Amino acid sequence: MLSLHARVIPIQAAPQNRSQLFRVSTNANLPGGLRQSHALLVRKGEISPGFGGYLFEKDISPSVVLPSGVTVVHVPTQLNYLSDNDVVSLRRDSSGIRVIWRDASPHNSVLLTERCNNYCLMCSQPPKDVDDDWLIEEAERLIPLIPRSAREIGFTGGEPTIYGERLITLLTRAKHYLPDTAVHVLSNGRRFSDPGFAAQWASIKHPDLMVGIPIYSDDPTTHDYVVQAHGAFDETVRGILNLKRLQQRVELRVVIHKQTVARLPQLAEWICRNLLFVDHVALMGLEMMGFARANISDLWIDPYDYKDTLSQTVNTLQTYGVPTSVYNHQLCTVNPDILSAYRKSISDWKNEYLEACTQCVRMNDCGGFFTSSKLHRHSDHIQPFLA
Amino acid sequence: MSRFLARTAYAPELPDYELLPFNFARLNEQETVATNLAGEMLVLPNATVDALVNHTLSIDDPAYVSLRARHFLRLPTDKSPIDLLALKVRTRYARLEHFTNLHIFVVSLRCEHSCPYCQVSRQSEDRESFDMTPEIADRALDLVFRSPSQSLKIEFQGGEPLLNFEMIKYVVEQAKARNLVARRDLAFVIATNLAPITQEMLEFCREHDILISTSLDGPADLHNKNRPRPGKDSWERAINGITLARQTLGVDRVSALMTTTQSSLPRVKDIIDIYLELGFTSIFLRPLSPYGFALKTKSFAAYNTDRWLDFYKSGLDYILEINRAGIAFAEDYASLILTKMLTSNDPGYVDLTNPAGIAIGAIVFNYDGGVFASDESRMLAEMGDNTLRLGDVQTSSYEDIYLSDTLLEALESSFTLSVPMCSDCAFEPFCGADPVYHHATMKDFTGRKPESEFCRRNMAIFKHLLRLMSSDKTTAAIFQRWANRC
Amino acid sequence: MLETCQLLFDKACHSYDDVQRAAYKFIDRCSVVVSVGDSQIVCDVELDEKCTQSVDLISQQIRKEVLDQTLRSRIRSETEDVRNLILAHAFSRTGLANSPE
Repeated sequence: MLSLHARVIPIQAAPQNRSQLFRVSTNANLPGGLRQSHALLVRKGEISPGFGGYLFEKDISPSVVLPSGVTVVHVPTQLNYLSDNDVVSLRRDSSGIRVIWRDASPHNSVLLTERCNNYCLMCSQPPKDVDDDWLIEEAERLIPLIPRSAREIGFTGGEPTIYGERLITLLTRAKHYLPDTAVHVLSNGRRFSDPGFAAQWASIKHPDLMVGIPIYSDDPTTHDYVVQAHGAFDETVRGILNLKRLQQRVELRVVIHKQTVARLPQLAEWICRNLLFVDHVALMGLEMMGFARANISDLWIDPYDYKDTLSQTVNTLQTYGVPTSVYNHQLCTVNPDILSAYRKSISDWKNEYLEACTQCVRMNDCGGFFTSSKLHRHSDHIQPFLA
Repeated sequence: MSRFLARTAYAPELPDYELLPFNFARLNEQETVATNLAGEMLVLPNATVDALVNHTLSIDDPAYVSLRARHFLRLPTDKSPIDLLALKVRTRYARLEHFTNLHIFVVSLRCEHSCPYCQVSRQSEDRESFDMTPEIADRALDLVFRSPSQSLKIEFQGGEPLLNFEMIKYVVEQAKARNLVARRDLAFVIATNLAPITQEMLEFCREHDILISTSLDGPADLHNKNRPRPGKDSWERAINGITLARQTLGVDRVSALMTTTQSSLPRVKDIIDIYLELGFTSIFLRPLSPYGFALKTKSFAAYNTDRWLDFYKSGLDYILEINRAGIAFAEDYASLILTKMLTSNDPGYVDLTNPAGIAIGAIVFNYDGGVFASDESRMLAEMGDNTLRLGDVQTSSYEDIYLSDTLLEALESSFTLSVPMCSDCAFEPFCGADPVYHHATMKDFTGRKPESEFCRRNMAIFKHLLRLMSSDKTTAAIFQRWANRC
Repeated sequence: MLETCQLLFDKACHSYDDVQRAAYKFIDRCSVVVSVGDSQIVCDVELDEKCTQSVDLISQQIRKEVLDQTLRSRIRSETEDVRNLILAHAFSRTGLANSPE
């Protein structure tokens, strides 16, 4: 698992009133006009002046003359993967660095807040009631630094829609700076039950925007229980309908665990009857992080034990023509009949394999495990394919 | 320490719920099927339905959650069911807005077959008396393009339409010319016995994307018995024609339809086997036609319906067996009904929609310019009953035809939600009306449904399909696929 | 001589409509005349000559059907408002936003 943040040793820290964002460059000869927005990643050899900051991987020889007035830090080895076009955020006091964009990754996700009005039993990002506007503020600064070649940007939380109009503005900014980049926002969808907000969302007229909204059951009580919020199901459904009336793209996401698996086939039928026009359905394995660990006894079910239910669910959705994907499952825990929906999906910085997997001939097609799952709980039926 | 609340904290606070509009039918001593406006279905124990209506159903009842999810009941705090039901109802009726899609052109009555069940053809060389003229075709095309429907299907029938291939070419070319401006989605079909087919005709079909629909009643002996022609080789010519047509047009551009006669009734497996052998992927097990049997007694009709139902159920069983063996093969009538039962869509089959598809779904332009509300209406006219002759292309305007009193009366009486017995039938969302059939057999567009073979046949099929899918998961999955074929 | 029977239904529990609708379903095998008395609804049944079922069986079936029609009437009247609301929404051009319910 990659580390996306680390402590750093400031060698020279210019005073700041907020975090500093830089696009990373390894090119000491970068054209002068570009240097201010870049941090030079120094692996060996010379440095040249004019950069907004400097990141040294190794010790700096005493003979090197550091440009004055700019931040210079020493980055630890766990950030060896840093490369051109990545974006980093240096703390105000230059004691820490966060990698907030990795060009090599197809799955960049930007956290906008840790606040949320749901409280899901299995939340991997447990809500905090804090003022974390600085996250969206940083995202606003990040967008112009993201390379235009980026395929997709994900915005997550917490619940991004708590920002209301500020979120709309952020997405509009993404459209303006990154017109060729797909945007995927995760949301519980409740705020879209306000037709005004749904209309604002639609007015962005983004060329490739999708919102991923969880629905955990066809039964309102079960859904409300899983998300720990009264009336959430009803609001979420009304939100989805409002978005669809405005022809906005909507994905439904279902995390499969003990509380949602019992009625999973009925949920599929409910989707096909009531929300047939959704753009995608994502069926997801449980990530063993955050609240999922606290509630494990209410949530854990071995995926191998529900593989037939999963097959029935996928079959129903595909029969009705709903684009469907299965994420976060290992190939040895699913039936072959769902392979057309199976995605090798765990984010590259989170995925791992077990000892048993080293012999598996299908390892390269398998998404592997969340690091958290490998550590805390995974299927008891992990077996390599030997032929 | 946990902030998490138990499931009971999210369950309904008060035991009471509100009913949403629904109906029910008793299936047997133990079970009832409940259906609602949107066509959702639930099979429940009898006592559950009674409790539901009496507001004594407990939230712990195993059916409670499904009844809420499928919109048979709601809590006062559930607002989304209203929106979802409205959406589903609107989807069901959406096709009405598009109006007439299918336009049948009877380009000639001439035919060399003399099938006993056909009411209309003439064994004759007389083109002048029995062929459509360009003038009539032009006026008919005026009416075609008056339809607001974005998709327009023109189907050539007869007699044997290939005997007037010149007219087919004329209509296709004229329609396409007009469509350069009208910009609709045009489709063409020729319903033909394929006996007169030539490679040149097939080339024309290929060039203009014309589909072929042919008659295939079953194995050679059955088919030829049903469909006599000089040379007694209707079957051989049909097979030959299918092969040639597939070679030129592609396999999925050629379909086949069977006509069911008394002789067909004991042969359902043989008939299906022929369709399988020839590589068709479905069969439409059609009912016996009442037309031509004007003096049927009711018992004769009942006997026929029972025998036909045996034919149908055996056929369906056989087809399901084939599916379980891994071959995808469907029954078309079941598929139409299953689309209505298992999805929010309506396939728009003119003989099983509400209101009926007469004129507003499909319309017929006869060789002589007569305009008919349906193919059956044309057959009735041949038997001397012109009730549903709506006008003439050369003298009637669009309004004359579509606003004629007779048509409106027939349409109104086909609206199932407002006629006796249909209006309180649980299967109404899946059914339709056939005013022409009821007019032919009972001299009344609505008909007396308790005495109607249309009603009895359809009810039996609904219950049978329901029984099959409730009792077996594999069948339910197969039916789900059939429901999504449209 | 055709078989007949008379069925009586308490007006307090069933409506004329309920009995009428129930009886209608059996007109393929009998003829039915429904009339209204002081406290009861009267259903006079005369079996068709060709009817193969017994008069007792027909009576029983009609009674059961009357019960069902009464249930249906209850559902209909209880759900009339929400049914109208749903249909109004289904066929409105503006869509379904802001339902006050």
